[in-house]
Amino acid sequence: MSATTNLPTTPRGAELPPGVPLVLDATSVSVSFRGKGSRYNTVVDSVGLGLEQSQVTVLLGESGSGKTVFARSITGMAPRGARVAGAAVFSGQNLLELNGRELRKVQGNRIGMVPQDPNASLDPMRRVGGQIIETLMQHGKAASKTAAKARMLELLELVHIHEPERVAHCYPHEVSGGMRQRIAIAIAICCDPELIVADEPSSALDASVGVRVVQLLDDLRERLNTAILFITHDIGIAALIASKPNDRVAVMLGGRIVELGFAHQVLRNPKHPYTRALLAAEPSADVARGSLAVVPDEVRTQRNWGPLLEVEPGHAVASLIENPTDQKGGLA
Amino acid sequence: MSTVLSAENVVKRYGSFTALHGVSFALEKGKTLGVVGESGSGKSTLGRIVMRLMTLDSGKVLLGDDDLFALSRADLRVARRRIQLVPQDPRHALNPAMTVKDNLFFQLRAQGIARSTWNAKAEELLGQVSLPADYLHAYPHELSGGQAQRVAIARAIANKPEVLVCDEAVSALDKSVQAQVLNTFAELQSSLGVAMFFISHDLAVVEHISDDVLVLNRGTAVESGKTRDVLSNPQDPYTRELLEARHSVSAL
Amino acid sequence: MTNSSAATPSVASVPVVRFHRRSMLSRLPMRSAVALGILTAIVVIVVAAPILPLADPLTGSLSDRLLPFFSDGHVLGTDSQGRDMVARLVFATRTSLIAGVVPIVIATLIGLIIGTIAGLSGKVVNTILMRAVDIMFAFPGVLLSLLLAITLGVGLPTLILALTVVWIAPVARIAETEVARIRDLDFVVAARASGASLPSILLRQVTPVSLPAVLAYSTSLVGANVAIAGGLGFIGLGVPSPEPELGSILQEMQVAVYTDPSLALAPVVVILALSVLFPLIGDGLREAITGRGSDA
Repeated sequence: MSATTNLPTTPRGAELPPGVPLVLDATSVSVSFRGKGSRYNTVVDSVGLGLEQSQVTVLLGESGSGKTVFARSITGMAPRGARVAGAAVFSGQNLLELNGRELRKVQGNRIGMVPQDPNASLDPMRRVGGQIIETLMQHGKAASKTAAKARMLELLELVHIHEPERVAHCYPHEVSGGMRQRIAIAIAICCDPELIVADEPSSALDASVGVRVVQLLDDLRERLNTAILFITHDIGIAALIASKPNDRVAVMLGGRIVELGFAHQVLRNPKHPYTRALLAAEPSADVARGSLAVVPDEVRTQRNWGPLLEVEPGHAVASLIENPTDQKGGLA
Repeated sequence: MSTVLSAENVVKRYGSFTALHGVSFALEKGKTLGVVGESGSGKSTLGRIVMRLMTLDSGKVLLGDDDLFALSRADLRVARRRIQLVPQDPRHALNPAMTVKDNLFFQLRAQGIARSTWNAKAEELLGQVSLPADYLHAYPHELSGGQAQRVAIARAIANKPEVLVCDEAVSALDKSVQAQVLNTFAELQSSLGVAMFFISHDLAVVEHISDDVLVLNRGTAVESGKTRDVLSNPQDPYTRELLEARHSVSAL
Repeated sequence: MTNSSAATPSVASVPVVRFHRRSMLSRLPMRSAVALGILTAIVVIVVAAPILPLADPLTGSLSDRLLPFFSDGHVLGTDSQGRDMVARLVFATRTSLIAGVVPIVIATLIGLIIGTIAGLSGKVVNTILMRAVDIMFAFPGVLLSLLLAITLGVGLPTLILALTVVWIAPVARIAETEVARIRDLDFVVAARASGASLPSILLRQVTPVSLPAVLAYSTSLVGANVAIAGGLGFIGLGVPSPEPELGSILQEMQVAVYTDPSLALAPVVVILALSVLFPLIGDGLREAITGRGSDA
């Protein structure tokens, strides 16, 4: 792996065309949790990422890579007990420095969340329509209840729910898993957010249903001009959501981004051994049984990845550091 | 080719709701039958029924030549040595209050294996799923999803069953871990000659691991046959729908 | 460090880890460990009571009645009959601990059995058992104690019996809920699939997982039970005098309320302490156990 240019260690890798506004600019974000005694375990290790309007950025990695903790932390929703360092600038405000009340004005309103489990955003005791109306009213997005109801029906149609009146009247448990996820998306977009964070939205659903949900999100970001931060462990789903030329993929491993670039670069021409292994691990009829590629253990547990270095315009990869004390050099 | 597991017109009702509308299939020795469908298709129900973990309303299930639901208690206990389950959720597949070793020992006892061989067997079983013997002393919560699932597989093959019923056995795993577990299944099939009844909602997985496929839609078997044939030339609109979703993902 | 091996393994090798067991005690949170320490000290004192140099708790001279704290020979004063308070409290605590713990132990055993059977049974048996439990729930404990006292006479055995009956229902409910939840978990289904017998599944698979939650719950019940036993003693349904019992001592000390209310403080403090210590321990036990992974 040879580096053609060495960039300064802001691990964003790609040089952005000048003047492109960032919806969210996260720099040097580190998150740690208290471990045994007074030791702290670092779950996210100095990660930076810039999210643009109408762009999908995929955080690709497996459980434990830190992707969920990172995404939640940069939107001000770090888990309890987390120590967060760094900055996450959203519309001129550093979300990591806001207090609870100010954060609540932003979350749900200008940043929408689509969690893996739709039950997390849906109240099982309330009818679907009512929940959307309440969110609209709470954030002052509707002048009256009637206006809110009209908007609510509009939203349900926007997420491809065909009988919005009927579904609005249902309780969450009365509709299918796929539909619950669409409703969760409707709630996430109801206030016209600038950023949507989708955390494994298709993982809890059947493969075919999940695909439709992902396609919906892809369609919505174009219509609404929102930025999407999409978290997944599934490289096939990553390819599905990152459908536009400007979309990017950031591969996370052990709390760091080890590969970052445009989707077509990272997914068709991966340079990092981990990304390569993920690609080769996809099950298909073409691979003989018993021979699916497996991420070698040395790669997965490796923590000595250096800073991201550009390998082609827009595409950066972290290399192994030979000598852990020598942080500046990579493999030649 | 001998048939190790088959069903004839299995019907299952819950009150007025029919979960299975007369489903039939035949699983050959050493082969894999992929059972694919979305949530609510009845595939898990079918999986429970073919293990007699659930009753049926009409139809037959044959384990080899034996009518499973006609067996006496004692005969059923012995029959259970020929068909085993690998469940879906690695977090709950093993008893959390017991170590891996005790979980395996429980299985060995239930399957009637001589106590004197337990220690050696437990180590051997872990080896077959590529886990070091040290893991015998681990508690399930100390294992990752993939590791726990492999222990669940080790438990299932403890007495060399003829059939493994895998109920969404890789669905809860990360893709990278999924590959390892699928490889493990394939290796065990080739070394033990075990047949697999592989339930999954993921067509890509089913395509990879199975010789034959059974497509379920709301309790009805809409299509079945050799995997290659069915998926390259689907006859049923539902199968086509599932395939479309699958192919839009492999834009890689 | 590059992967130089020619063949890619089909399953990644797993790092060798030693699994260490931390003893349960070391995982108890501080507050529970302290509570446990205090309780142990109390139990030791109370058990050793007969051999300790205490005054006679049953007799006293009327010339010494209602002496204040720190009187000569009576650190905590005397009661209305001149009996030494320290001695009375020590023996009373012993009685209260017995009345507090024994009913819970028996109720837990019975409740666990009923709840487990109900949890594993089909709809019919479950309904019969749980409706019976509901009926027991509805029955007021005080009324039951009164009835039993009338028929069997007042005394420690009657008290224990009444209290036991009161607590069977709540334990049975908790046990049933736990077991019903556990039976559908994959490891139980796998156990059924393995051909194990029902008793084997019940004893080795279900109970080890349901037990910690039930035990933690029971332990906290002791606190409430001690208070209730004290209450029953207060209204005279405990042990008959002159046997000391925390509730009845409190009742006797009512007479001192006008002259020296602080004398009544001692039995109150002991009842409060016991009512608080047990939940603290039970709470901590639950935390310690959950860390071990019995939390399915």
